[in-house]
Amino acid sequence: MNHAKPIISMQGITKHFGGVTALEKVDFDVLPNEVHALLGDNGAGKSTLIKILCGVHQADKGKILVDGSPVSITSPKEARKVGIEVIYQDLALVDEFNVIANVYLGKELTTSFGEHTTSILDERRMREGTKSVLEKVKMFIPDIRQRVYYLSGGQRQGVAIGRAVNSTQKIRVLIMDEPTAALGVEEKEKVLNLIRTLKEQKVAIVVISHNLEDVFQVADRVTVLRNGRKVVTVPASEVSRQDVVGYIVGVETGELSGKR
Amino acid sequence: MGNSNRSHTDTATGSVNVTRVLQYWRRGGIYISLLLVAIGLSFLSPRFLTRLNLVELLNYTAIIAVVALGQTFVIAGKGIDLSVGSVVALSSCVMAWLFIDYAVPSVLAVLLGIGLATAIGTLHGYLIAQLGIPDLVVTLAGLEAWRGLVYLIFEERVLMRFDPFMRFLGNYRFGGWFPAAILGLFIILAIYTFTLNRTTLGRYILAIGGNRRAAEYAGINFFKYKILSYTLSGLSCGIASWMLIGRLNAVQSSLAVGYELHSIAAVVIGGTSLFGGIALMPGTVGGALMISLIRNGLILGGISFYWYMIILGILLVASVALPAWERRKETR
Repeated sequence: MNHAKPIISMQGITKHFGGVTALEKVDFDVLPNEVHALLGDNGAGKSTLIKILCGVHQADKGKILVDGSPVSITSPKEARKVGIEVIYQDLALVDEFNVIANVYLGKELTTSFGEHTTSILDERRMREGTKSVLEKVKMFIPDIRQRVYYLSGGQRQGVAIGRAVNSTQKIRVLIMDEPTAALGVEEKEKVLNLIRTLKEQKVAIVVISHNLEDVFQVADRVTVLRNGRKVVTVPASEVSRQDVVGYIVGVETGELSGKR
Repeated sequence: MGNSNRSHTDTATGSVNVTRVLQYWRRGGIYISLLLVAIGLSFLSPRFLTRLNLVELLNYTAIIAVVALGQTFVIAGKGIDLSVGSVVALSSCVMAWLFIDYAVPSVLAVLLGIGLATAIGTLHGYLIAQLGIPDLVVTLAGLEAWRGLVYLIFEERVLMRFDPFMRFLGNYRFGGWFPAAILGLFIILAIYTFTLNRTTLGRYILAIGGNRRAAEYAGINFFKYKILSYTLSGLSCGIASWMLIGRLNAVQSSLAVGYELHSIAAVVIGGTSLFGGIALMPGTVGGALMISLIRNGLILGGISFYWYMIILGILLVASVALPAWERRKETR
């Protein structure tokens, strides 16, 4: 198997919201060049774990190691600094903006150097950059000046991924929250291909999903959470879908298969 | 909102065409409407299509257009500025007051007035962004409070007799006929259009208006750009005040009443979305012109002024109804 050292290692992560324990001593790591699926029922703690990793929440206990050394990630900006990018389920695109403006949102190319309150946008370079980023993730969008509102779900995913990948900081880990939710068959296939393409480009990917069908098409490893605790982390090739369903709902697999 | 389950392109080709048409109408509809109304008016009155009438029309429109251009930044950021009329009144009166009562040099008086309006806009932005008070509440309070302050200081006074510099922007005519106000309007239009479309300032104001969460996630400072959108509205009010002084050559407390409605109407008629994220500066000037045209036409046709108010109301609702319907249809 993959014995490389993890890029990211979350150890003993515990998080309470008021009296509710969202996460209890959860360990989670991401190896280089893997697709790691994070599974669990609603309220299992998937989102909380990911939000801690990308700096939206802070853990009450536990530590995060990046390349073996401890880091404190207190904001999305810091997460980005260490190469962690997240694509949220609703993609966080500005619907009214075109593809170019979305791919470069918050990291616009300008004709001046440094950070100013205002500087002149370099539309030509951003247009070229958008083309090459979309090529890189193998996403074809006929008109990049079209408002993203009018794009299909798969194309919107492509734009979101393009934006995540389009970074001066090299992206190490891409976290995708329900990337195939509510997509048609063809669109879903496109997104799965995108994930494969990114993997070829040595980006580690964490996929949060409810859809086991999709997960098993791309995942190398699977981690299941239940009630804020980690149930298991296993290579995807070593478990059946039934096993995973068992882990998620909390039924012993023997029991489950015994009924069959 | 940002669901990924919309698939216009492969399912409903018909609806794509409708939305495309709506998109084009948003950009160009105002100019087509202007043309149609202008043609209609030229039948109504042969005097309408004379150079004199057209120049006067644009000249008359310049003040509200400048206010509306600032308002466009605010609405681009999904805000609304109801205070513009009172801010114009206050900054005009302060300019006149400094000049007449305190013999402050006119250049300085004008600059101080513009500075005051800009500072007030910034204050509104700060209260909205930093304290989280809704745009509507802050600027409605501004509408009331600044007007109150104007009356408190100036009561029923009429300040008049200004020097050529104070009257320049609103009154001077190049070659004896071309108004400085129109030139000023077009310079501001050019600068604002550039700022909106070609700079990070404009891009970020649009981004926080279009999808605040996405913008913040992308590292855009919501507070800073929300405040700046109101700063620009204040600045526009200041410049409009200078124009107004020149135009009227007399300043009093009851100045610039109703500017909020007219400027917002101009912005919305011009194609800027009240839902944030889409703004068109030239459209705003077109919208302001449309309002003047209707007024002009009704006067030429000898129709009651009350009709003007009714028509303006209908026009406003119609301009918002179209994009609202578009959105409702899309999100279904």
